[in-house]
Amino acid sequence: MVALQLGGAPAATLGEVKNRADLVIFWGSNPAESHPRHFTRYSGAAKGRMNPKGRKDRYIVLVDIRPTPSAKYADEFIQIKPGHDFEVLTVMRMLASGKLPDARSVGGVEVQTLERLVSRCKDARMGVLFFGQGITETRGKHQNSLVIYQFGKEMSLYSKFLTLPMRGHYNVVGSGNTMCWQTGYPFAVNFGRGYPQFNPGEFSVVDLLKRKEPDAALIVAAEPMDHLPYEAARHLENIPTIVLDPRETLTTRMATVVIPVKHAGISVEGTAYRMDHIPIKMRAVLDSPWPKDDEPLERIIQRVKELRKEKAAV
Amino acid sequence: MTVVKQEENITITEHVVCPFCATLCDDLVIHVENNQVVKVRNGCNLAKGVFENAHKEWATPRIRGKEVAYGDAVEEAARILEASDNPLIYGLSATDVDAQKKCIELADLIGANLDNASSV
Repeated sequence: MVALQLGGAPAATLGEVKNRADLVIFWGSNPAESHPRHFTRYSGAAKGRMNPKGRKDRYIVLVDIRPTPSAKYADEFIQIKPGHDFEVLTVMRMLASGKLPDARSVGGVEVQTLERLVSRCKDARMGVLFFGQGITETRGKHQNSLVIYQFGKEMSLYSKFLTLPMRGHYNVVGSGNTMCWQTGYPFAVNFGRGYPQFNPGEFSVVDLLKRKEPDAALIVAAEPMDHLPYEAARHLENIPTIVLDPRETLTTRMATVVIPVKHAGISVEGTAYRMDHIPIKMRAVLDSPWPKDDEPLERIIQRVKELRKEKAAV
Repeated sequence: MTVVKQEENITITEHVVCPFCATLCDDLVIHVENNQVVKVRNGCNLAKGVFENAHKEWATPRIRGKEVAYGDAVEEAARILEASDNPLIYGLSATDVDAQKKCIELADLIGANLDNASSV
């Protein structure tokens, strides 16, 4: 996200990828296990307008630190040393501009292999680089994504080239979009001064919790006890924590207050954003006795206003 | 909702969107019997898990581990958040846009920190 703000991103919808892309690179992503149908619907076997033969019309490259189950679906697997993504991508940017590094290999990869990959990117009708948590959640974080966006921009001088993150949670793109639309910022926002302030590192969840700053927490549709680093998540055990969730989770089990809600997309309709920012209306197939989560949130808003009036009157 | 057919007690719904990963596949066919998913067509293994386990281990309204009336849980939540000096609202990434908007409205009201899974 920070990389996106610094570098901008050459992007398109997954429909464009399906119809036009003849070179697909997955970097630090294991779609066979994390996004199993991405490959068949859009990026691999899918038949498109310019890819009538589907898989045969695409050259697929997997770059990762180990051969994951996705490797067998790729034409080429490039194994790099853990933590060397930035270095390898920087050398690819060098090679793209016609300079040669003073080394035969970088990050465990022969420079010749990278030269071939760069010329494939330049010659592609449309190239796409999908990057996953191997890029965004390792050392270097947004700097890794930034160098990918920069590489994508430079490749756009030669071919159509896209750089797209493989987003995880089904509506994580929606949470960024909705926050942008309502507050001006995509995440890490603070309303303490009465207006939205944005500062990753200061107002981002892991940093706030590690510094033990919040004195109460409201968790909506997330599993911090499972997903956050424990040194951050454990602060939630020491403060009043309220959880809105359809199901029991590690977080509901330690919460001070649990408010059950309907599961958007299963027991109630709602809108979610696909990883390429396309809003999709979700359906409901099951009944649930609980209300949809905006209802208890609205009741909390009304009650907080009433409690404030009561306090002001005393 | 596009109900295709009703076979005895089984309701078959087409064009269902999978709320698991951000690929948001929108071509699932879900068979439901007695409010339980009995069959998932077109979905991957992750989607099957989401739908088949959707009604297992339902959460219940609770305060400090004790089951309470729904309204009491909401009241306690409002009391905690109103009394907080530096609240945190986190999550938003596994629910829909309307709920996200309500989280933002609440964060604005109580002067909260607001963050989603993008930052992790």
